[in-house]
Amino acid sequence: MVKLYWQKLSIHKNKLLPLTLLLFLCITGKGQELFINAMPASTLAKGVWSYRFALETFNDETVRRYWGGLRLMYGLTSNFMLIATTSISNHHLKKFPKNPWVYFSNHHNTSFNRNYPLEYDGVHLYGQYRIFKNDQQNGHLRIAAFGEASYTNAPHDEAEANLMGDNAGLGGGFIITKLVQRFAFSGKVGLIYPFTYKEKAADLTFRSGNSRYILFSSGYLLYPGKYTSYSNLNINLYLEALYKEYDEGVLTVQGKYAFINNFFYLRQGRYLELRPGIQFILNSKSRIDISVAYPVYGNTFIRIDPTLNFAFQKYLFK
Amino acid sequence: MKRNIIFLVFTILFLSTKPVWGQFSSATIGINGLTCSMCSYSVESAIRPLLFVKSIEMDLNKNVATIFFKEGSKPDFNKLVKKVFEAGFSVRFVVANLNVEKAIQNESLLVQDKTYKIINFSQEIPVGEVKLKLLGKGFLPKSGLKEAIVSLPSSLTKEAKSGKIILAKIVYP
Repeated sequence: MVKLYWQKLSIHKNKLLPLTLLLFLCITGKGQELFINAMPASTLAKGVWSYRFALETFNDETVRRYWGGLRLMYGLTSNFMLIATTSISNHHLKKFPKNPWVYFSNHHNTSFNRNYPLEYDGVHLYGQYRIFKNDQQNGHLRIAAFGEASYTNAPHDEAEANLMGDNAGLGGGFIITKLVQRFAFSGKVGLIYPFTYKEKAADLTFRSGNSRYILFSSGYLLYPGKYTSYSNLNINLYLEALYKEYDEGVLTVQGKYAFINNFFYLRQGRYLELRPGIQFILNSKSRIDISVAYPVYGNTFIRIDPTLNFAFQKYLFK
Repeated sequence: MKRNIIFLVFTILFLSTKPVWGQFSSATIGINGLTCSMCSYSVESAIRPLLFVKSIEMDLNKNVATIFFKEGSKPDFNKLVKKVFEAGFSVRFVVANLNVEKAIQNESLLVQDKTYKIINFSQEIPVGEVKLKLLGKGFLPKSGLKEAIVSLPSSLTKEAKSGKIILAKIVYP
C-alpha cells in the first residue's frame, strides 16, 4: 500500500513545461500583483471590503477531496489589512477512531475506507502590515510583515502543518513585492507553528511539525495591451512556486510515542511545487482565479497534486 | 465730516478684505505605484465621495487622475492627496487649474479661503487659466519635494509646513 503511494508520487516527469513558463514570465511580461496563491506586499485600500470564495480539489486515489473557503478582507488603515477565512472540507474524520494505531497505519492505503465527511474546519485570522513602499510611475517595491492564527478541531494526521483548515496554530513572515513595467515578482517567506491536537477519549495527542516555506510568484498581463476603460477584461497569467519543509509529526497514544519510521507521512519532508494559473478581472472589481499545483520535487501529504484551485473575489469599493 | 467718516470706513473695509483671485476648476494628480485598472479604480472610488469633487477621469495607461471640482466649492488638496495615500499609493505631482478672475499682481494669492504663494512669480498673470504645480508635503514624492524647496528662504518653508500657506509654481505651457 505504501508502495502504491510512492509510485503515485514518482509521476514528476513533466517538469519541463512549467519551468519553461517560469522562464518566459521572467523574461517578458508586464506584471500585475494580484497573485492567485500569494498575497502581495500591498494591502487593501483603507475602508475597502472584499470577499472571496475559494475551492480546492484533488483526487486522493479513490476519493475526491474538496476544500471550500469563504474569506472576508478589510483595509483597516492605508497599510494594515485584516483577513478572516472560514472553511469546510472532507479532508478529515470528525475525530480519530477508537484504535488510532490502525488508522495511522492505513489512512494512506487506498483499500482503507477514507470517505471522510464534509466538515466545518474552523477559522483563520490574518493581519498584514506594509512596512516599506517605494512607488514609481509604473511600478513599485513594497515590503510587508504578516501574522496569522488559526483555530480548528480537525484531527489532522500529517507531519506537514497547514493553518488553512488542518492545524490550529500560529504563523508569520515577510512579503516583498517588486513591480517594474515589464517584470513583476513577489517572494513570501513564512513559518508555521502548529499547536498540539488532543483527544481525551482516545488518550491521544498529535502535533504536526513546525514548517517553513518560500512562495515565489510572478505575473504577466496578457490582455489588454492598452487600457481604454475600467470595463476592459484583464487576463493575467501567473506562475508561482512553493517550497516548503516540515519537521516530523509527533503522535502519542496513551502516553506512548509512535515510532515515526512506521509512518512515512510523519517523517520530516520538503517539496517544491509549481502553480501555473490564469486570472480574469471583470470591470476592475471582481476576479476569477484558476490555478493548478504540480509537484516538481519531494512530496506534500496534505494534498495530492495536481491540485486544482478555483476562486472568485469581489472588491467592494465605495 | 460725515463724508470723511464714510470714506474712512470704506477704506478700512477695503484694506481688511483680502483680494480673491479666482477659483480652481480642476486638478491633475500623477499617481505612483498603480499597476492595474483595479488599483486605479480603488483610488478613484476613494476620491469620488469627497464633497467638492464633481467628477474624476482616470488615465489608466499614464496613471494620471483629472479631478473636476464643483462650482463654488472649496477644493482641499490635502484631503485629495490623503485619499491617494489611504488607497495605498503615492503622489507624483499635483497640478491645479486656476481660473484667474482678476489679474494676479504679486506672488501671494487667496483662492477659496487658502493662501497660495507662487515661488516663480515674475510678471502679472492675466485673467484666464493658469496651471499651478503644488509643492508642499504630500504633493510631490519626498525626493522631488526636497529639490523643489531647497533654495527657498526658511521662513517660507516654515510657513508652508505649518499649513498656513501652500507653495506653488506656475507651469508655463
